[in-house]
Amino acid sequence: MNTRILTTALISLALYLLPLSSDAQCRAFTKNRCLPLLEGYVQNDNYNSAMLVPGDEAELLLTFYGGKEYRLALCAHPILGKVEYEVTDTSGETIYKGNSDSSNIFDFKMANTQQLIVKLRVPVQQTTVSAHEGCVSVMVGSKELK
Amino acid sequence: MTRSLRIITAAAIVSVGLASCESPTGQSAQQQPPVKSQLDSAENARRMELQKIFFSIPSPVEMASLIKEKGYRFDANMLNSTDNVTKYTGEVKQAVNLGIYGADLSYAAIFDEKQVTMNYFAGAQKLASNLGIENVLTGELIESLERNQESRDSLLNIVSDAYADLNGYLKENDRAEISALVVAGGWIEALYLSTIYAKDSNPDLIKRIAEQKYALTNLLDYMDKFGDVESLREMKKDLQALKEIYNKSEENKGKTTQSKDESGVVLIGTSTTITISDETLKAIETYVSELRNKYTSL
Repeated sequence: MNTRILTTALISLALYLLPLSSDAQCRAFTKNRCLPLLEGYVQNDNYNSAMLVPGDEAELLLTFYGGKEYRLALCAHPILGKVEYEVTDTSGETIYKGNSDSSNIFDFKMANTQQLIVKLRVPVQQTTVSAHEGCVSVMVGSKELK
Repeated sequence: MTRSLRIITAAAIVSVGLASCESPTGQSAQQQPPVKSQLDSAENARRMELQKIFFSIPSPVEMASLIKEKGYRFDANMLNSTDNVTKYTGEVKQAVNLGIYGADLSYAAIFDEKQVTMNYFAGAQKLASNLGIENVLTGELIESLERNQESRDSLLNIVSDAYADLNGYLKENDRAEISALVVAGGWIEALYLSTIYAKDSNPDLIKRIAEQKYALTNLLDYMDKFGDVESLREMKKDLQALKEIYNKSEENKGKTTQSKDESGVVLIGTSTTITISDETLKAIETYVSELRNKYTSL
């Protein structure tokens, strides 16, 4: 009986704390799973991570300086499926398309300073199970052109 | 119903009960006046939206690296003294100066000034602690800086990763406004340092200063998403005044080009240019210096 009460109490506490800890998990996910993708590059010191749910769309406007080499890496929790992203210029012209599964890293060099837009979309899952939220990070790293 | 299913069902009922009966002030939600409750829910919705916003401007490291690349020398006298760390009071000034120290740290790390980097990291750690930010700029990171003193790239990575994590900590703790002030402080300091070096009319530095119009616009757009909040009011007004000076710059929109270099890496180019006159550059220099002094003064 005592074991049953203790188990109930522990599960209750875990369920109660779950929403509070999701953002903390996103920060830990970014540090542990996403940051290694920028090896060899210096990370931009902004924090570009958020908890998203299926169907969410987000947009990020970035400035890239001429004469530098960049790595853009999309990192998403597998629970969200294949998160798609597209890099465009400010007039909407596509520069790169990829997804979090197989083409999540985009390396490029900038000849001149320019603003680019990263658009990302979390796929809608075809399932009856309720939608799960998951962490999505847009990692930006730079290095000098050699 | 099996025993384990009964336990989980009971746990779910208890947890729903826990979540629904406690408001942030410890009152029962049903006891709160309806207006307050609506305000809370609007505020929560606003905070949830802010959590989902992606925002980025180039880091101070990218500004400082151009200064080094152009052959300029390091000058510690340009930096905000770490003696001031304990003297800053109030969340706004502490947050802005945390950003300023972050840019000074990046500048010192770029120039491979190991001891200065260590001192500024320790200063930033104290200021972060005064702001109630714990377990981010940790003593372990200082030890890591000490261990990696011989590698400039490692110093840069430790500093940049620490500040990204700090901004993540603030965002996840519903203090994204403070993170915005930290980013603004770092951006102002990087621009301030660039304007000092640009006094000898280096065209690349002047071009980089002109290009800060993009970051400034992005920063102001981000701050606007918070609405009219007390902590950002003054900074928004100050940056808006700077934007008015930047509006005198001339931007010629061009087309984006794409090619591949000899190693197969995508090379992105554009004919878009942004230029500023000598008069506008002088106005930016003067204003940024005043702005930086306003926030660093005690």
